[in-house]
Amino acid sequence: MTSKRVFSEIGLILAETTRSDVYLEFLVNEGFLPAFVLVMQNKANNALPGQVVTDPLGGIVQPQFEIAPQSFRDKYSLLERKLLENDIEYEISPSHDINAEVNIQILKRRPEFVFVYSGYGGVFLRAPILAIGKKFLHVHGGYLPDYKGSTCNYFSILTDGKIGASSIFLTDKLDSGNVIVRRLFAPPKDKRNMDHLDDSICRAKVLIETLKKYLADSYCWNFELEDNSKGEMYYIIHPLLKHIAILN
Amino acid sequence: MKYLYTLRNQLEEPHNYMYAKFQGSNFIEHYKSDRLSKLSILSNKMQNRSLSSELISSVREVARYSFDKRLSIYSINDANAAVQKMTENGCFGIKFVVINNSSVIDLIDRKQSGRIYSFALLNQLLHDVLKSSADEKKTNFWINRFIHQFEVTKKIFEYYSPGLVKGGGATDLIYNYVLVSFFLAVTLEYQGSLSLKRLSCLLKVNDLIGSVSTQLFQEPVLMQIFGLSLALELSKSTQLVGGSGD
Repeated sequence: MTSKRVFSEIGLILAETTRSDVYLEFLVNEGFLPAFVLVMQNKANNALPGQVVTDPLGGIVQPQFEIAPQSFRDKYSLLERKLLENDIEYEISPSHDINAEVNIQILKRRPEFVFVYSGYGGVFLRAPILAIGKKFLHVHGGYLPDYKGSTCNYFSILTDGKIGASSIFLTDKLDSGNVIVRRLFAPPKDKRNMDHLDDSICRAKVLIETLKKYLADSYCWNFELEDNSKGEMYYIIHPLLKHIAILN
Repeated sequence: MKYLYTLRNQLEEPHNYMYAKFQGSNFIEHYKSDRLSKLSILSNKMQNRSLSSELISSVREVARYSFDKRLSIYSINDANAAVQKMTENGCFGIKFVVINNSSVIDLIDRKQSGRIYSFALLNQLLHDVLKSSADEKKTNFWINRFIHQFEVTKKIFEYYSPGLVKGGGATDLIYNYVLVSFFLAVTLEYQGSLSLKRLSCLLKVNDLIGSVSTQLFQEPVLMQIFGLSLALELSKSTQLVGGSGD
């Protein structure tokens, strides 16, 4: 059985997305528990970027069975059940927008110094939240500094035949913070779940490595790459190229 | 299932392309059909106009090869050769000329004063690229700035501040989109390795133009340039599809 370690200085910001589910699953499996989790629920009727309507997991990440009674399952989301089961303190935010004042205030009054960020897709942390005196640890879906921006792993499949993930602290410049850990991975054979599952798994692996490195470096954040200012900025890949990458 | 990205007017309702659903290998055929049908329409429209045979032939020649359903390497090479010949001879039916001496191409620094009209800048960039007199560093700078502006705003503005930082004026001037499309296509053609970032943007710009392509029908020169751009895009995309074993 994996021993548990609670990181008293580290919190987690999660959204109701597959990526957040995968992060939490990997952290719990590793026995790495955050001191606090802020859950940004989507109360709207429409799915937000990063959310899927149908089950994208194919039984890989979701537990194969749950012993929790139905009444418990009806009351709490999968994310919340995981948090309750592992006795992790959490707060549900009324806003899904990380830049909302309510979220800024929640984070400001928390004692944790570093927050692992896994929000909804297409949202950038703006100046007010970046200025609250906390560090935001983000795992980017791409090998830095070569691949910055959006949908990088489709571009890197077509160019290099690889996918990547890199952990950084967020700054006001997109994907340009110092790189703590970066890794390359072989793309999955079936790439149809890249958006929601495979990309998330690569990021989660790098997140675990990042925390292991933090422990190994005696609770210091040392960087694999100090200068992450160069590199190419990518934008959302056109569906034709995405299809070619998936079918490749 | 049709190719969705040219069905609705993208000037009014732009696509953000986020989390585009995987539709299987049929999607590639839908894309090809969309482009080939647009080339066919352009070709026919141009045939009905009193343009010189030389001008008409440029798009028709490329379009004819593109209509080869097999899109074999032979036909692609021929199409590329035809385009190269036309650019060498400068016979696009539109003269890309230097408009004035106070070069917009040097308004790179955002701290400079002045206003960049997209048409003037694109005109000069195309002039330089087609005459092989372009400064590669500057050309790449402007390509990246246009890509950034289009990807973020989904618009090409009538004018920008220096460095193409802030846009202003009209955003529905179709000729600006056609010129950006052609600029991306021509630079894709001439560079050594394929820039997927540039091709991705070209596909989106051409989706937008394709969604309002009837607006081109009164402008033979724009039809011609768009036709060439589409043919180049199709050629590059088809090479990639070939690489994926389709």
